[in-house]
Amino acid sequence: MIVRLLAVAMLVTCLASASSSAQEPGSRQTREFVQAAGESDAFEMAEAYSALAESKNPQLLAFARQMIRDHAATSRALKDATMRAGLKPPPMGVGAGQAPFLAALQSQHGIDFDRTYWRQQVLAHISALVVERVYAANGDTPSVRAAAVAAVPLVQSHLAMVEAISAKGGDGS
Amino acid sequence: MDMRDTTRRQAMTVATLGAAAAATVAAPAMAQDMTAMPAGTLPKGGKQNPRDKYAKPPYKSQSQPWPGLASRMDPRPDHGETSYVGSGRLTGRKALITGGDSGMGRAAAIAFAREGADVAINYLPEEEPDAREVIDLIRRAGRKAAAIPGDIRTESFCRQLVDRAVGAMGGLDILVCNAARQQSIPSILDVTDEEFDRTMKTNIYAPFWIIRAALPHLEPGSAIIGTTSEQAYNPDPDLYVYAQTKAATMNYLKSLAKQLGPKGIRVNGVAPGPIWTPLQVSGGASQGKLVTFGATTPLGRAGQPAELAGIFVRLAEDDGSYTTGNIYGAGGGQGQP
Repeated sequence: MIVRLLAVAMLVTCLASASSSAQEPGSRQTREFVQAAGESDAFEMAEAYSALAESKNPQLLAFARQMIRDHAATSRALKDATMRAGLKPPPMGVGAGQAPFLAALQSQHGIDFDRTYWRQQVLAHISALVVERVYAANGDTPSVRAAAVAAVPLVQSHLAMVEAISAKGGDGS
Repeated sequence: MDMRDTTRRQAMTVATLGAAAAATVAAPAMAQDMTAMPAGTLPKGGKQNPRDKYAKPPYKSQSQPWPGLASRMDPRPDHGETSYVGSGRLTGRKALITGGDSGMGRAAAIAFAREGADVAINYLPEEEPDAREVIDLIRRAGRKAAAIPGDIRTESFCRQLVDRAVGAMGGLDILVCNAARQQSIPSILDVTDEEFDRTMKTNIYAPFWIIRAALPHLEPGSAIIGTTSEQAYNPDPDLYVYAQTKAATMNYLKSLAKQLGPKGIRVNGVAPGPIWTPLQVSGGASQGKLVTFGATTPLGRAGQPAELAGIFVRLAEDDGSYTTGNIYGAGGGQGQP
């Protein structure tokens, strides 16, 4: 997990100094951020939709509903920010890095589904927080940076919630 | 429930598709679009963004008793009913397709008929409503259609099936072994002998019995096609039983290709990814998998049976005469081959 965290942080930092391509508007740092944040929103919503169909745990269901609400909102905010900056909108699909997590969750049932969901949610929110924080700190496009700044406390609160639940064993009781 | 589904759908579409286009798309409208509007709205040879071509997740949570009906799915799968246009690629051919009432078998049946082939379909008696539609579509294409309901889990029925198909069409030169049993069971501890046996009989024994019975009728130039799966190469943990039958399918196709090449009979396979078929809503996928079906793929959605029709045609037609022992895929960017 720490390795993963460092890797994400290093990647995003490296991108800050990269120059923009001739093909697409925006710096490489910003394009990479928009992609990562957009895919993260899509992943959160996909996992939450699976959870609503599969889980019977009231706490998990409530959290999943909040994920759909909150990540639809951050996704919209990010899209608006890219439009204001004249950039391409974020991709709206689960990224290749997180697709295996969703696939693993899709194959679970009952209490195993719930445990897998909480475990993945901790990891996913740690990753998302790193991505948002780095861009919030030194992103080069003001409107996109504002979206990241706004997303940080939200993702932080999600992480605190899933960590608290996981600490209790992830049974949501 | 309905309220929640609508809210969920709208939330996702706003986020996924962009507000303007999608906020108006409610479930019933989407279902109509699925049958009325797909690939065929463009002239043949045009192009569409494959991500936007069909409904995307989240899909509605839904469940049917095995084996399920396509006509009761929401959205209704697209088997090419309104879109597939033939161009004489299988003129005068005679095809038998197991599981031809729905899913990929139905897409193949429709395409084969419009390419000029007579088509016999096999299906379970419970699937009669879906089968009626397919028979009608084959006849409307101007071809002979034979409906042969029955469970392929016995050798005697498999023999009968081949005999009746040959009798109805006056021969046989395309055999598609497509029917399959699939149930999502997360733990091997919950796999009963009965379930294991049922899956093996349907997916492994039946193609053996059917191909063995059909072979004396197959002249050089004939084609055998089996439906395997991305699961053959990268099995999901809950599809332990099903996935191994698809690995075996991939393998028997390659073995038979070597065995039958000298007789001038080609043997190939089709490996679908997550395709929107009744098998998935009748126990083949958990509800959690179903609502986000295909969200794991780079194309971001489930595939539709119609998107495999051309592959079946390609593997059956004479123009594909150098292709044997190969597996062609349609996986949305995930999985093998």
